[in-house]
Parts: sequence; C-alpha cells; structure tokens
Amino acid sequence: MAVPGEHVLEGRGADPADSAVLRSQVACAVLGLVIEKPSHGYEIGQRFDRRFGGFLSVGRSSIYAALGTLMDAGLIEKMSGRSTTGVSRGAKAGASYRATARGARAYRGWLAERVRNDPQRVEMIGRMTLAGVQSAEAALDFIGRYERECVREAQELARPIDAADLDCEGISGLVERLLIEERRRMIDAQLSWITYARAELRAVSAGAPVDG
Amino acid sequence: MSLLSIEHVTKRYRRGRLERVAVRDVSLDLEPGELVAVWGARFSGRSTLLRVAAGVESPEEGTVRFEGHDLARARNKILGRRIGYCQTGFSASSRGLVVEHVAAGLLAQRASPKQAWRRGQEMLFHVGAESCARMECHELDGAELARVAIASALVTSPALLVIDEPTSGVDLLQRDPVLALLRSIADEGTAVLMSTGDAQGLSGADRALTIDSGELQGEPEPAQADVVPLRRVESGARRR
Repeated sequence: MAVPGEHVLEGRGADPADSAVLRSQVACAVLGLVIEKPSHGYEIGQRFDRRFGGFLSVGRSSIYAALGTLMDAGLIEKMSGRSTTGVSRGAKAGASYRATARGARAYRGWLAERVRNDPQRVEMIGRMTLAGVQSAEAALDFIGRYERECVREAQELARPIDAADLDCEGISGLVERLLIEERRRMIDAQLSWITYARAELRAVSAGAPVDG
Repeated sequence: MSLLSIEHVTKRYRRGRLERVAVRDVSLDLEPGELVAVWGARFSGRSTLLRVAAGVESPEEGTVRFEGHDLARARNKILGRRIGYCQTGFSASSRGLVVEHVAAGLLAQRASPKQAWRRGQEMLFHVGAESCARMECHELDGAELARVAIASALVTSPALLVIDEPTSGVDLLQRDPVLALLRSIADEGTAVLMSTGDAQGLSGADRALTIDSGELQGEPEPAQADVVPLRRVESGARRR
C-alpha cells in the first residue's frame, strides 16, 4: 500500500503477513500513532502531520487507507463507545482505533529491525568503494570525506541536554535520547575505524610493505 | 581580526635524536561566542593543539594571535586573564577548599582575598557547583571536577576558554550536562575551544574539526552565519 514518493521498507524476521503490511512507511507510522494513543482517523491524521510531516507528505486519504489495511491485517481494531481522546467527536470523526496485541508486537519487531544497521548497506558501500577508489591516495581522500560526514552527523545529532531538562523528560524523551546515544557510539566506532584505516593507507602511500 | 588566529603552526617534540611532529601546519580562527570542538584519537595532537592555542606552549613554526597580539610575546598578560585554560581532573589531590582554588586566579592578579573569594563563589554558582565551594578538591566526583575546573578558568572573565577533554573522567550520565554548560558559556559570548575523544563531545558545536597525526581537518574559519553576536545575559546558577 505504498503511496507515491514513499520508500518501501524491507521487513525481516517478523510474521510474513505483518511484514507485508509494514513495508509501507505510512502504515508503520500510523500504527505507531495508534499504539501511542488510541483515537479516531482525523486526530491520527493531525498527529501524523505534526510528527512526520517533515518526512512524509501524504493526504488524509492515505491515512484512512493505512488504517483500513492495518484493520484488515488485524494489527488494529475499532473501539466501541466514546473517544478516549476527550475531544468531542463530530459526525465526521468516525470510529476510534486501538492497536491489538499482535499489532504492538509487530511494531516492536519492525522497530528493532530498523534501528539495527543494515549489512546490505555496508556491503553496497564497500562494493562502490572498490569500484571507484583505485589508489591509496584516492582511498585517503575517500576516508577524509567519510570522516567529515561522520563528524557532521555527530555535530548535528542533538544538542547536549542540561540536567534540568533531564529531570523532567518522560519515557519517550528518554528513549529518543538513548537512540541518539546509540548513534553516537556507532559514530565513535566509525571514527575509530577511520583512524586505523588512514594509518594503514598512509603506510602504503609511504611505501611500507603490506601483507598479501 | 579574529579573536584567536592560529596561522600555519607546527609543534614538534624531540627526545634524543627522535622527533615527533605533534601539530603540523595548522591554521584555525575563532570568533567570540563560537564553540569549536576538535575530535581526535589519543596521540593525535589534540591536546598539544589546545596548549599552543592557549599560549601554554609556543609553536616552533607559525604564529598564534589573540586579539591581534602575538601570543608568544604577550603570553604573561593574556594567559590566565583573557584566555582561560583548563584540563579536567586537574588537581584532584590538591589541598584547600574548592572556592580557594577557584579564587586563586584572581589572587594571582592581586585582587583582595575578600573580592577573590566572592567572585569564586559567584563562578561556582554560575557553573552549577556552588554546593562544592567548601569541599576539598579530592572530595569531588568527575562532573564536579569538570565544573570547578571551568569555574577556575572563567573566574578572570576571559574572552576565550580552552578546555582539554571536558568530559574525561565524567560519569556517563553527567557528560551531556557538562557539554550543555560549555554550550551556554559560548552562547553568552565567551569563545570555547575544546578537544574530545568521542562523538558526544561534538554535539552542539558550531564547528567540529578532526585532528590526526597533527593535521587538522575541517573548516578553519567560521562561516559568517556561525558567528554569534555578543549579548549580555544575566549570570545565574545552572543545575547539576
């Protein structure tokens, strides 16, 4: 159910039927919003715009289509009675949705896969490097550019948080910060590798013998 | 004219007939209100670069200018006054009260003990370490040491703070608040030049540079939009 312009995500290790539904970024985002707070379609659409508007530009019809797909897959269900949002539901508000236990499990499984580094991406970068970098000097240039990208990402990742802000953050703030911290540590590993690779390449450039 | 201008600086260390180039042909400019972080692995030259930038050591080649003055010639008038330099974990074993340690920079400039003491307490309050004032240095934990080191360097109201590895020895959960303190110091108009050995130290920096084998990589000059206009802010306590 991918909409024009959105990337299709690969799902691995989850229930194949759920993975098929969660190949859509919009469906994943909508499922996350329903898990966050059961609500009706209009309100979910509003939260979608606030949360993901900068990344995914989709119309309300896509939100309702995603809700339908998630319903059909048994990942969310309609609620009976009044809305839990406290917002008065007009005639157009429609039914409220909540996640099923299966939907919550599927979302966590999808999330865990997405935060893990994709080995295919690393392999592809490796193959592209082998194809386009044919000398130690060119490799050093590539390494320098890679380093600048890593440093730029670390610089822009997040501003350090003051103790006062740490005290009043909720669980969502904590999780967000932990994910940033994971990324920082990956950058540390990348920078460490860059230092090592540069030393090896400089040794080659200087004419030092290398094994193999 | 930049606040700090490092021009083609090279620094070597010799031991017998062996020579190691710690900093190689480095150029770097800093403006007021900028926070510049230099990332480097151990023995990359990051600490040497900061010592040269602060005037603690003189370069063999090149020039370091601070507010237009050659730092090698005017070091005694600038270091400890217009430039505050500190390493964290500085004097954990030193005796005396923390507030006395912080006030020492002003006493060296012949301020009255009463005035220096009061200013020392103000600075500890400013960096969120006021509760440490009457403790001994060896009683402090890593984050407190970092804050006290920063207070000591800032007590003379320098225009530039040079700090080597501010989060070294600081508990993991206290590192962000220490970095946030440095960010706020820069936002108040004091330029900050810091070194770091991890990606966390780069967060929020106006410019992030790297150093490897003494060679500095990255933008040596601030982008025009990065220069933060000086603004006066009320001095106040920061929570730890």
